[in-house]
Amino acid sequence: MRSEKTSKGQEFEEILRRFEIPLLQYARGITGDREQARDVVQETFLKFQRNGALRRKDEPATWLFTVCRNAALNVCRKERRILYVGEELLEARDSEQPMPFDQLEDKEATGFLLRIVATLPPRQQEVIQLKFQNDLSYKQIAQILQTTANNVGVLLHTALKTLRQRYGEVAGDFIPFKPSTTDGK
Amino acid sequence: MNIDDPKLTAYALNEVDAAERATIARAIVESREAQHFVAETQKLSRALRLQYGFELENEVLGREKFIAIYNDPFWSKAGPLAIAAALAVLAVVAAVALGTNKLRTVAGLTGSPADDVVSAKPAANQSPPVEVEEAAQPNQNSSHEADAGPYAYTGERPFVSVLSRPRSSLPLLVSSVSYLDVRRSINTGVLPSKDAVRIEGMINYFSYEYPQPSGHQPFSINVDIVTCPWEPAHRLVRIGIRGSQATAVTEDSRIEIQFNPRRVASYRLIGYDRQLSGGQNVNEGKIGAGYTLTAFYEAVPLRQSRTTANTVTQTVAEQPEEALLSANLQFRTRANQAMRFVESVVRDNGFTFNEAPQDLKFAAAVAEFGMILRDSEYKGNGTLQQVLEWAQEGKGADVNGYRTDFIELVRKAQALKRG
Repeated sequence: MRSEKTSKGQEFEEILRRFEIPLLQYARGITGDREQARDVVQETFLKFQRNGALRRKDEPATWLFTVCRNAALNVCRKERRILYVGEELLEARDSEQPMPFDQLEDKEATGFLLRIVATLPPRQQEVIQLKFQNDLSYKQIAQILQTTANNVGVLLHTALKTLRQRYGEVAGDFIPFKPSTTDGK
Repeated sequence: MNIDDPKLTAYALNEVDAAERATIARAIVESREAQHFVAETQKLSRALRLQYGFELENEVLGREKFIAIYNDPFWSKAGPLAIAAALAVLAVVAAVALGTNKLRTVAGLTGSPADDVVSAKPAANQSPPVEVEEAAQPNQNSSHEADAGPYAYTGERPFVSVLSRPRSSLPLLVSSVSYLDVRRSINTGVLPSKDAVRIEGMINYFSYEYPQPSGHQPFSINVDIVTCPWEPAHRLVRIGIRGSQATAVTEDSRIEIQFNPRRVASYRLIGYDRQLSGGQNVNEGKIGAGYTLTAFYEAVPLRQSRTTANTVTQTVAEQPEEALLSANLQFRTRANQAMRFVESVVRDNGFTFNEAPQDLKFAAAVAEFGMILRDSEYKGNGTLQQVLEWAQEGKGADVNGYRTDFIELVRKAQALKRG
């Protein structure tokens, strides 16, 4: 028989194992800095523990990503001494972050797609990561981004469409699937 | 159907409710373009998931530093375990030692390498058959389970006598994360702990080509039977399921393999050990559009076992025309709530492993690789060198390079074993 305390410890350990790196990547995507992302995720887990979130039976993912996102945005706000208003901060990163597409000449498989993801607008990147790295539902993602599930659907649809096009342009016959939608071409 | 409708993406990702799903599915049937879109979205989705998995693995090495941050009283208890789990070296040393003991425990309890089951109990009624679930039970409360990280070691599925249990239910839901754990471990220079090796997950990490279901069938069931490469007296049965793109998701689906007791003495489902420790019934679940599943059974043909156990059923086994097994898929569709069945009755045509399709060879290589890593008592005569050969023969076009990567992984494991 395991004591309740040990079992909670194991539960926490499992949550840590499962979410730590996804959260780190998520936070790094927002802050653009590895060390800051570490601080943010540490803060997130400490809050998670303190709030007794372990007692909750429901899926911790939404909680963790929401808290992580807020903490990361806080860091950005402090760092840049600007006031975060709605989407502005994230949209502002739009112009600095994306990698020029013509840099993607290396066709090695691992990370290839993800580098194309990195060329998408930040909000679309977030949605892609939450969906495909963390397997969250539209509804959960909507909660984290404080928007509607419909909007998440539109973001994801747009993101995947762009992804497919760019992947097709860059990868040509390399890709394991053939792009069919080449709108605007 | 307008392919620029976000609903189509939501459909492909299984994000629409039942009513809408049926409507969209009907629209998709009408449009080749929409079918193509859904298929592509699903492929892209799969590729993204895989790449996030790879990326995760590259990041994971920095983890132990991070865990050490948690230095408060809570962690003074749980910490050592967590750190041990995170530090691959410690974990593997501990788990290999424990794993060996546990494996012996299982073997001791069931006392049943394949031939024993077959030869000792061919007449069935003498004693209860080896129940797979029972065999695994004793390990459930093992005090060692924390050392296994997220996996709880439960032992392996033994061979099961067909006379007493002709039907085997095949779990439909498989998580392939285990492959990434195995890959990460080997790439960092340590053989993975046995507990981390989930063979069914490894097999299904790779994608295999199965024909589209014909006509209005929502699924194709593909069964191939060839000589078992690591145990040539046995037959290796590959079950491949593929869902149709345009059929609405089915619920309460399950697949059952029924072995012909006149042709098969015993069988063993390869992998799927973890399922036994989980409370939920993973044999029942949903099969979505674009679903595929690959599973292996190792079957001991009756003719072969009869020589070791000189009893019963001598005459019927001589009828080569008789089917070896039937695979039955049970399902409901959203549109039609009546339970429907797809059945596939399969004869053993005596194919050798050399004649096997490439995908089968590759998947068999993955399965044997898993068994060797687990030091399974069922790994037979296979060696890593043979795994390499089978994987190379089965590599095929390998457009995304995953199979090549696997071959590299086997080479690294070989070097580690030698070292």
